[in-house]
Parts: sequence; C-alpha cells; structure tokens
Amino acid sequence: MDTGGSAVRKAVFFKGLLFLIPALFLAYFYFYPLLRMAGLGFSGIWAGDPGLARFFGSRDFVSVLAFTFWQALLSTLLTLVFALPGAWVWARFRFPGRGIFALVVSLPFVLPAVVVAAAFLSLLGPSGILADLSSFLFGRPLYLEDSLILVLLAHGFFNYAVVFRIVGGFWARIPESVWEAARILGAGSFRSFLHVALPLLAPALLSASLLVFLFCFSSFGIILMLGGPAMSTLETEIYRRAMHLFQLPVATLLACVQLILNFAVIFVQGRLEKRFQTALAFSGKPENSLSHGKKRLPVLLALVSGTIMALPLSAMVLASLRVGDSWSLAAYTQLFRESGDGLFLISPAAAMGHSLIFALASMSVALLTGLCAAAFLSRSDLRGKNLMETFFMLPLATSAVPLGLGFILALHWPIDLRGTPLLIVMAHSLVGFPFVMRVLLPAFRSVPKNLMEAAMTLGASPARTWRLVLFPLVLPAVGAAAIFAFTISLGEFGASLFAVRPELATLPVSIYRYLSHPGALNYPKAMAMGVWLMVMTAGSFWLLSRLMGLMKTRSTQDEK
Amino acid sequence: MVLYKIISVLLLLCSMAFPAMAADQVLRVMSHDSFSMDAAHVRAFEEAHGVKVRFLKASGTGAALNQAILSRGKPMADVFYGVDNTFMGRALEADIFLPHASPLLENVPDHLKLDPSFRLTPMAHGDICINYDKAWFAQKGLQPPASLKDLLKPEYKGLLVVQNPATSSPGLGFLLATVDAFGEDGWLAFWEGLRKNDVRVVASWKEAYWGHFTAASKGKRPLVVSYGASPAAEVHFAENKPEKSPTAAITAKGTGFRQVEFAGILRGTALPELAALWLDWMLDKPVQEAIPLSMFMFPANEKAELPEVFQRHAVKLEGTGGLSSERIHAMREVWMDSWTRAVLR
Repeated sequence: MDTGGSAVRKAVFFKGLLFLIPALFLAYFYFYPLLRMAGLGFSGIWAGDPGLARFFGSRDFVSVLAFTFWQALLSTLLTLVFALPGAWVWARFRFPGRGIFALVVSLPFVLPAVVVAAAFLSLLGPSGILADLSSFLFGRPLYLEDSLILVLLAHGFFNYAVVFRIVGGFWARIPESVWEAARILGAGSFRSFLHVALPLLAPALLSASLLVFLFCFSSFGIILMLGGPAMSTLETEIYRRAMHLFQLPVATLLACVQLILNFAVIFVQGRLEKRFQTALAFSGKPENSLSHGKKRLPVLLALVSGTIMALPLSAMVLASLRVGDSWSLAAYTQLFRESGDGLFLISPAAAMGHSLIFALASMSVALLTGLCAAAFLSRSDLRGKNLMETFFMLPLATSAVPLGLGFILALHWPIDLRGTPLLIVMAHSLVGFPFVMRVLLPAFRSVPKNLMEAAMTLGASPARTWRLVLFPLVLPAVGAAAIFAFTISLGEFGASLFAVRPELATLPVSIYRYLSHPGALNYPKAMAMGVWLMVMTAGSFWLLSRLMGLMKTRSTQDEK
Repeated sequence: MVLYKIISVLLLLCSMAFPAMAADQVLRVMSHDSFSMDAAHVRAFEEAHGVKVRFLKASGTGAALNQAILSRGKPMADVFYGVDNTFMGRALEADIFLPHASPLLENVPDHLKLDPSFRLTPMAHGDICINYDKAWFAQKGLQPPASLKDLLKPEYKGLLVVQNPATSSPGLGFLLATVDAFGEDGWLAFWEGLRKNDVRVVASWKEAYWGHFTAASKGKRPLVVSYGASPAAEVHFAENKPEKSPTAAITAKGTGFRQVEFAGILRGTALPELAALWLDWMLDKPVQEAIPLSMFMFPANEKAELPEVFQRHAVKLEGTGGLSSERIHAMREVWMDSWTRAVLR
C-alpha cells in the first residue's frame, strides 16, 4: 500500500505529464518554428527593409486589412442567413431524411478548399453547368469567375456546418416547455423567436459567428482559387509576400497582425462557449422535444437548404462522369488502373493509401495531445487557464505559410525532420489538435469532480481513476474527436505548398496535380478523386453516428 | 496504462508509415513543380552509383528557391534544380551554392554561362513569348500582333491572358520583356494601356494556358504568354499527331524574354562529390536529349540532338533582350510592386 505522500506525488506527476505532452508538442512543432520565422522577419525590419515602407507606407496595407474584414463579415452574415433555417428545422422537427440532411450539410466543412473551389467552378464557372444551361435557355452563358460573390458563396457552403452544429445542437436541447410557455402567453411564432429564442440562443449564435468569422478571415484556398489574382486578403498577401516575393519582413508583420486578431477572437469565443455550455445544464434529452413534421414549411425549408448544399457536390459528381462530350465511367475505372511514373505523378490508388496512413497517424497524435490538454485544462485550478486554453487553440487559424517556412528554418534540430513523412503527420495533427480539444473539453468538464475525488479517496491511482471512471464517461466524445481529426487530415492541403516528396502525395495534393494537367481525362479524374474523398469522409461520419448511437443505447441500458 | 497503449499504437503506426529508414546513401534533389525527368534515367543513375535519389518539390520557381535559401547552411537537399536568370541574383547573393566547373560546360554556348563563379550550372533554356491560336485568327480574318505595341490596338482588345509576375515565372519573364522593350520609363504606360485593352491576369501558367487559351481549353482568349516550345508540345501531346501545330509563337525581336535554368550543389551538403556527379550527368547527352520532351525547354548542351517534333515545331526568339541579371536582381521587387499597382489594384 502506498503512503499518502507518494500518492500525492503520483498525482502531481500525472498532472504534469498531462500538461507536458501537449505543451511540448506545441512548443516544438508550433511556437518554435513560428518564433524562428518571426526572428528572421524582425531582423529584416531592424535592418530597415525598403519593402516595408513601400507596403505599409502606401494604401495597400489598409485596403488589404479592410477588405479582409469586409469579406469575412459578409461571409459570416451570409452563412448565418443560409444556415439558421436549416439549424432550426433540424433542431425542432422530425422529418424523413433528417439524418441524410445533417450529413449533406456537414460534409463540406472537411472537404479541402481545392475540391470546394473545383466543385463551385464546375457549377457556376465559365464552362460550368449554369453556363451551359443558361446558354441553352437564353442563348447567353451566365457564369461567375474571379468574383467576390463566388468567394462568399463558397464560404457559406463551407461554414454552414459550423453554424448548423453549434446553434442547431444548442437549439435542440432547449426544452419544449419553453416554447409552450411562450405560446400560452400569446406570443406568435415571430415574436416567440424574437423574444424567447433569440436571447436564449444568443451565446451560441455569437460563438458560431465568431468561429465562422475566424475561418473566413484566414481563408486561403478559396480566396486564391475563386477570387482571382487581384483579390487580396491578409492570408493571401502573407502567402504572396513570403513564398513568392520573399519579403519576409512584410510577411512577418502581416502574420503578427493576423495572429493577434485570431488570438482575440479565439479568446472571446472560448469564454462564450463555456457560458452557453453551463447554460445547457438545465436541458433535457434532445430527442424528446422533436415535433413530428405536421407543418409543411419546415420540410420545405430542409429540402431547399439541403438541395442548395447538395448542388456543388452533385456538380462534382457530374463532372467526374463527363469525359469530353459524352458520359463515361472511365475516370473511375482509370483510378485503379493507372500507375503514374512512381516519381512525380503517383497513381490515385497510392495517393488514397497515403491519405489513409497519414490520417490514421495524425489522428493518433492529435488524439493523444488533445486528450491530455483537455484533461489538464478541465481539472486545473491554475490562474490564467483561459489564456492557456487560447494558446492551445491558436493553431486553429494560423496561416500555413509562416508555419511551413518555419518548419524549413527550424526543424533540422535535433534530428532533421524536413522532407520526412513525420513532418506531414505533425502538420496535420497541429490542425486537428484544436478541434479535438474543443470537442473533448466540454465532455471532461461535465464529469462531476467529486466522482473522481471519490475514486481517489477509495485508493485508486490516477491512472486507474482515469481508466475506470473518467474514460468510459468521455468515450463518446473521444470517438467524435478521433473522427474529426481523421477527416481533417484527409482534407488537409496546405503542407503541399512546401518542399515535399512528390511520391508521398496525398489525395488532395493529387487532385490538385490532376486538375492542373492537360488531357481530356485528367479533369474528370480529379473530380472522381474528389468524389472518393467525399465518400471516405461521409463514411467516417456515418461511423461516427453509429458509434454515438451505440454509446447512447449502452448508457440507457446502464441506467436501467 | 491507456497512455502507454496509445503510445505503443502510435509507434506501431509510425513504423508502418516509414518503411525502411533507408540504409543506402540518399541523394536529395530539390526543385519546383514543373521539374520532370524520365524515371528510367533516374534508375540508371541510382544503379551506376549505388545510391537512392529522392526528389523534393515545392510550388513555383521563386517559391522553391526561397525555401532553399531559408534552409541555408542546413540544406534539405544536396542538389537544387531550377534557379532561372530572373532569380539568379538572389541565389548568388544568398550564396547557397558551391562552385562546380563541370567539364561538360565546354559543350554549352557562352551566352548561357551567366555565372562566372560556376556556382550555377546552366541546364536548359526557353523563350517566354506570346502564343496564338492559329485557327481563331484565321477564322476572324485577323493578323496576329507583330509586336508588343500592337497589343494596344482595339482589334486585340480582350484577347490576351498573362500570368501574375508575383506568382509565375513566365509572368515575370514577360514583365521583363516589356521593361526591355519600352525602357524603364515607358513600360508601365504600356501595361496601363494593356489594362485598358482588357488584359486578363491569372495566377499561373497552367491556369492561363489550360484554363483560358482558346487552343488548349474552352477559354475565350486566343493570345497567351507561354514558351517558344509550346507549339511543339501541342503536336507531341495531340492524339493524332497533326502535320502542323494548332498554335504558333510570336518571335519578333523585342517581344519576349529568354529564360535560362540552372542547377547547383547546395552548400552544406554531406555529399558534394555525388552532387557534382549528378550535375555532370544531367548535363551529359542522354539526359539533355530528354529535356525537350520532359520539360519542354531547349537543352543547354549543344551536342544534344533535338527530337524531331522539337526541330519542326519549337521556335526561338529572333534576338534576346539586354537586361542583365544584376539589373533584374536590383529592380525586380520594385518593378513587381509597380506592376501590381498599375494592373491589379
């Protein structure tokens, strides 16, 4: 039997480990490369780089900053307008195809920007479906290219899931009695929305809006591919200045501005989310309050919303089936037949294999680090815990360019990791880590503290308490986090901008390569790979819902 | 214990992800996206020298060089392929290459040997110029433009697509061609005129050629900034090898820019001898003769024989410009900033 002192020491050691694992991970793979990069940039600033005056002295900087805000704001508003009806319908009504609806609107969020952009172009672009249709109907092609509208639409499409999940999830857990009370007191549906729903939903709404704003503010691929070369946001300007013009001082200052703004948004968003999660404590079981589809309006709304979201995805499927001027499955049959030269252009099947391996490996890393971070933050009584949480969340919206360049600059010590597959895994894990933590934190916080204390007092070691008490309680959330990290890695694209081994290309990178190669079959092939990626993602989500269902039935059985 | 289990699973996954931490010597070659080479040639080098060759690729010409400069002293590779004469000043100033006077340089014409310190070895060259869609112009009964100035005429309004010089090396080459043709006082006015004449700017060569050029896409622009060898590529990749190329290049004096591509041994490499062997091997006849059809550029080695499709359809400029690489290096950023303001903002 251990003495009390060693048990305490063990607990302290355990807590320290929980902190150290994510902290070291972030310190080495995130803060160290970024600081090295910033050091180089600031030494240029110190030396009086002439590019600085040319950029910050002109109106360029102000117009870039203003435009970045402006497009992010418009995108957020559009996403809200677009996604709120869907969230409402899903949260309050039972209707046929409710699960499929939730799947369709959630898919775009984890698709890589290359695929989303290609899908939009095959729908609305110069040789897209809309152009064909309109020239057939009106004798004149209608299309969009290099335009703000295209960017806004793609942002709305992409971020629908954020609003849908956060607001819809919250909405579903407000008990029916609240709406009944409003109705009994004579409030019409509009008034009950304005005076009851809106104030209740406000924290969730604000939190979702901030996240969408953050993603649109630092959006990269969509701006680059749909906005054209004249469109410039902070993120694309950092990319052009650092990667192509090698104006590191300018890029560093821009990245600092962006990082500070991101930090502020994440901090506020984190506080807000904590508030509405405690507010949720009063809620009942979500499914109980669902009304059956007696009204036509909700079903119609779901249909319209779902169709709009499915349009770009179906455009992609159509484009994958269209070879030249005829319909064919050639793109799909070729996917597994073609071998590539094995050096610079690898076969789609090999790319798929790489994607799976990288996704599994980075899921494990993100899960391990995220689990530790969430466990530490939920148990810690430290002051400045909120600040620490914000620091942990920072990789959520950091510009890929300074980080990638920082990898090249910094990660040759103690062993040279550059150009190894491990670096790709780590880059993917960095993107997945904040999501894992976000999903796990509420689950950890909802575990009653005295439950753990009771187990400890009864003589269980910290590890045993974890395994027997805490872990079973948070397991569903861990499953959800794992699948999140897995799908995020599947869709990750930014790492391919940097010196990488072409024979280790992932699916999104291959899609990009095939998109920009001539040949009648390469475009449909790229689209077919996009469809595959979608199927793999949808499959993971399906698995997730089964997993959650399983957990739920098990826990209800336990209650009985 | 959960932790240990996770860690062991993780280790297992890692060992799966990195099969055979390669016991043999590995020569690492870093380059840009457009670099390509016959896999059989690479295998032959590997067998001849008992090494493994591994490639690293990073987006465009400029971006790849910038990454090589960032890793100065601690290079990620042993050899770098793809510094061109628009960026050679930056590469030489950063001093990231070791000198290597290849004996094969005697087969390279003097106008390509731009680095007297032998840190950069010329490997290939190609002329950046305007290509046009022959069928489109024939159908409209319009003559293709004969000079850059012609592009400002109303009949050529809305016909040209160019690349952003900040993100594309043909784009930068074409900007330099205009500086050369109109002088440092006149070139911006030319671009303002082009903008009024509805020039279209895109980010990359691929987007311009395969996205907007009428002869190679469903696009709407019959004039594109490309290479003198592009007409040969049109014939080479066509399914039913036509007698004549559907496109042609404008090669009059003062309409284009000659791009020279170099390779070098990265300073700090552990394998300088092997890297030197690679350079000599790349400059030798077999690889040089494969360059035209793998990268659509002319080989630097004059002894290399051109493939037939190149002899018949690839063209060179009638006279190249007088901008020195020092001048380009000194002014590149200023010119690009002025260009961005005049054409995009």
